[in-house]
Parts: sequence; structure tokens; C-alpha cells
Amino acid sequence: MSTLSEMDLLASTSISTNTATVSFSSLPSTYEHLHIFYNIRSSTSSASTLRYTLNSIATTSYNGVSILSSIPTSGSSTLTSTGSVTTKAAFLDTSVITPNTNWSANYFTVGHFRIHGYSKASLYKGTFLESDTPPNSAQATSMAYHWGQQDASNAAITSVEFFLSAGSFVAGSNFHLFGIKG
Amino acid sequence: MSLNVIGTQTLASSSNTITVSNISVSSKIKVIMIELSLRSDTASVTDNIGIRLNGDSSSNYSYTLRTGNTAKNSGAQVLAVRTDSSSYISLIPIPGVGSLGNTFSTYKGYLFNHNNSSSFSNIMIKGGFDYNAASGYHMDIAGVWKSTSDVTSISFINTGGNFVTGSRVSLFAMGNL
Repeated sequence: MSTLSEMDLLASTSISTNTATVSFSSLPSTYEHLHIFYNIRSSTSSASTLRYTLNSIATTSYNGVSILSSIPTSGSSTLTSTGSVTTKAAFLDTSVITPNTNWSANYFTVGHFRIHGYSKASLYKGTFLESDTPPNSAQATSMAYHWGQQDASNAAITSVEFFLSAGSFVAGSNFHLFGIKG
Repeated sequence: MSLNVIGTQTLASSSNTITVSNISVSSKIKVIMIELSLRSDTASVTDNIGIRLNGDSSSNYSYTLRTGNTAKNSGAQVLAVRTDSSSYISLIPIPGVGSLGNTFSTYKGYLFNHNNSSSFSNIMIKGGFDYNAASGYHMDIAGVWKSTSDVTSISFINTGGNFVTGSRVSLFAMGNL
């Protein structure tokens, strides 16, 4: 069996009851990049998207760009892509659509979120995300890409917080945090 | 250690199907990473493949596929397909005989929830390849196997011909290993 010791699982959160915010805190500074894999579904019947903050900073200092490509209904092959720009917001909205109570059971959105150079003190930290929401009956399917940055502080990232625009993360949702050395 | 090889299948002779089996369902594995280097012996420029989990050939899959075909001087074309009931997750395209020689797909992705009884198993794969030194394809798929059973095998099936010698599928376990 081959191994790669420069990549470590730092933390893992598997949700068993509705949870509004998932946080990873006290992050070690001994890695170059953070990679977070997630599986999410919302508790609400309202449309809900994935949001995040870094270091719990809630000042209007986040900038980002999201591209969402979606096919709204079954039987359609029309792909619609929309872009959104965030400027000086108090958090970042990824545009990632989260399955909710209108969806059949067991459907989740999955994705891969990265923070590059998170432990460096001399630069603003950039994030990148890719995410997929698979098709289910009358619900939209989508693929999302998101880039973001928090420019109020160039301090090392020691925590990251995920939450939804509506509802909570339901049981079966999970987040897995990996550190990668340079 | 957080990244271990589950299995690599490299074809010594052409074959219609490549399967990696005996996947551990240990809770220590959080995500499975997939790398696909594939080429088909069909005469066309491209070929299509299907992905099945645990050998399930029933209509228990849904997927969304997006393919960009970027031809030099002619812009980009995008094909989108949404299928809510299928007997496999479709991955289109991989290079065929009509593509540039010695060119294989460069696809990377992830299998989520292979051991999560509260969620269906999801597959995300992205990548592309050059098919005539002037243009190429880019591909995204978002697929789901509508089962909460643990996944112990994954198969890649060439729906038009055979995978050529040298085609390779690699799976890596990511987690607290």
C-alpha cells in the first residue's frame, strides 16, 4: 500500500441532528493548504445556498465570484449559466444550491472547498470551490464554481465557518478537513 | 496517513470494462479520489462510457453532464444532458481512434458517501483531453447512485468499443487511514 504523508485528515464532522453552523477552529499552522470535502442538505423548504466566513470575521470585507450552471427540470437539456459578484460583504455566498425538504430523501450536494496559503501571514487568503447538485425529479440540478477572498486581514486562517442561507444542515451531512503540506 | 491507493487497474490488453473492487467501507475512509486515463478503440473521435457501482445495472442512477468542445477559431460549444433515470452514470467523451494519437483522458474526481447510510453516493468528475492538437474537450459530471448501500466496487464500461491497452483507473482512499 502506498501512502502520502504530506496530506492529513485534520478533522471530520458528521451531523446527526440539525446544525446551523459547522466550524473548524484552532487550525494548526503546519500545512500549506486546506481542503474541505462536504456533503450537505438543508432542513428547510426554502431555497438555500452554502455560505462561509473565515476566522469568524463578520465585517464587510469579503469579495467573490460564483458561476452556477443549472438545468431546472427533468427532460430538459438547456443549461443556463449565471454569474454573481460579491463585493465587500460580511460573508461569502457560494451560490451552491442545497437540496431541501422538497427533494426526495437521501439527495445531497457534494463539493470540494480549498483555502490556499491559509497559514501565511503576509497575504490575503484565496478560496476556491467546486460543487455538484445532482438531478432529482422537479428540482434543479447544478454545477457551481466559486472563488473568494477576505481582505480585512492577512492574518493566518485559524477557523472557517460554514452555514446556509436558510435552514440547517441535516443528519447525513458531513465535512472533512484535510491539511496539505507544500 | 491520509491518502492510500485502493487499487489501480492498467490494461495490458483491450477490454470493454475496467472494475476496481474490494473497496473498503471502513468509516476511516471519508472520500475516494478517482483518476481516469482512458482511450477507446472506436473509429470515431470520441467514445462514451458508463459508470456503475456495485455492478448495479438497474435504472438507479441520475446525472448531469456538461461537455465543452473548444475548436480553434470557432469558439466553444457546450453540450448539456440531464438524465433522472439511467442504468449508469454517463461520462462523455473519452478519446477514440480519430483523436490525436497517444492521447488519453485526463479526468479526476471523487466518490462521496460510499459508506454513508443516510445519503446516496455521489460522483463528481471533471477534466478533458486534446483531440487534434488544435482543440479539445472539457467535461463535468454530477452523478448519483440512488442507493444508500455501501459501495464496494466501481466499474467503467465502454459503451461503444473497448478501452485500449494502457488505459488506467486509479482509486485512492482519503481519510484517517
